[in-house]
Amino acid sequence: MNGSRVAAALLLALLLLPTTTAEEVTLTDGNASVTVGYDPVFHAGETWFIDLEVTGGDGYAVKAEFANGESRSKALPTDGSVSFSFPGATFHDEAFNVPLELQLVHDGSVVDNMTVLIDVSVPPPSDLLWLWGGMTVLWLGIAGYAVWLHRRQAELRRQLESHIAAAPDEGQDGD
Amino acid sequence: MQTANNSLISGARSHRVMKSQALTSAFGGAGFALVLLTLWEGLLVLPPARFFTAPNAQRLFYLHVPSGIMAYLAFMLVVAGSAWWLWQRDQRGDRLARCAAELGVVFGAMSLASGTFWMRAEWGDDIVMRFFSDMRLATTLAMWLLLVAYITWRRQPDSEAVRRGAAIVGMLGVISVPLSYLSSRFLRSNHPVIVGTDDQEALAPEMRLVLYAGLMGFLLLFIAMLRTRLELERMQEELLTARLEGAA
Repeated sequence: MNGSRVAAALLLALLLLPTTTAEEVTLTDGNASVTVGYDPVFHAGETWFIDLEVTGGDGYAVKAEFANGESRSKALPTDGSVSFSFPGATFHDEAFNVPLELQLVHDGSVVDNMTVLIDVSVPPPSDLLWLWGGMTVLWLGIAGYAVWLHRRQAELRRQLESHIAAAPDEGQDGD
Repeated sequence: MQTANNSLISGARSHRVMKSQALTSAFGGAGFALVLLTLWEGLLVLPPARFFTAPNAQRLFYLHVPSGIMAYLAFMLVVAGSAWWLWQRDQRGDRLARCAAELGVVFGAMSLASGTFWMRAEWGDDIVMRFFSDMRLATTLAMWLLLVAYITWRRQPDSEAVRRGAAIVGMLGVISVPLSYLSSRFLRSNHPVIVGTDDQEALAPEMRLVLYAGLMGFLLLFIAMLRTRLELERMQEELLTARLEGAA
């Protein structure tokens, strides 16, 4: 297998890979255990969820806080699943390795905490599609007409040259 | 002797043609370079415009406006050529009008198409109704359709009557071009108006500079294309004459 095929196979594999996979961390305190599931990529403009799987969580709460001060907290049930979310407008710009502090809180004090890193992705704006559509039509218009002019000119030149090449013979015949 | 004269004339003509083609290429090359510069600055360097719902699609402005102005220029040349032919019966006027009309259709189509894409991003999806309710859009579409009508009319076998009819249609640009240009100022229209209004100052100097580069680039491309199209007409007539002489 040559190099270009390997590169093509790798590119295809990259394209087919899911863009993100959920990540999980666990916060514990005695019998209480909370598995925190989250998408490591925050898509700006889309609501971002944090899922919690709780065991023995009565009286506990989970707080999540970004470095920019935006925070959410959720009181936990004894057992089961809950989730909470951050609005899509939390971030506007692309960013990498944004710290998010996760805290397990009991009676107002932090009993366990962990910092995870996420990336913020800003999807391309929808009006870019219209920009490129307009540009494409515009350039196809100019290029199409220029190509037509060029071909027509070449064709006429060929016809004229063949006519001129034939003309002296006709002149001599006439003389 | 006749053959020697012919080759002398042919040599002088081919020298003239080569000089003319070099000039056309210079116009075309300079125009293309300026348009590339406009694209570079407009798409990659300048920041998105403020106060627009679709700030990225707004970048079409740098080519939409020049193509629209070239369509106006083309129609004014159709008017001038038609008037010249009607007044003097000079074939050069008819030739100019016919070639300019074709360029008007091309540049007008580009302006309408790019404007439609921009409009779709900025104003939403009721595109067809906009062409009926916004006077700038309606009058510009009507102007473009007049040019299409002119070209269609000229598809008939050439005759004095066809030329006269075409020249009369061409003269309608006297009304159509100012009507389209002024419609967004005096009639019901949401089309932005920049040149010659208080908003002119709102256009940032760097944006204005890029717009002027686009205008100059399109003007040079227009001149190059018009010269090539006129040359095509001349070659076509030359070929026809040669064939008629050959047949006689």
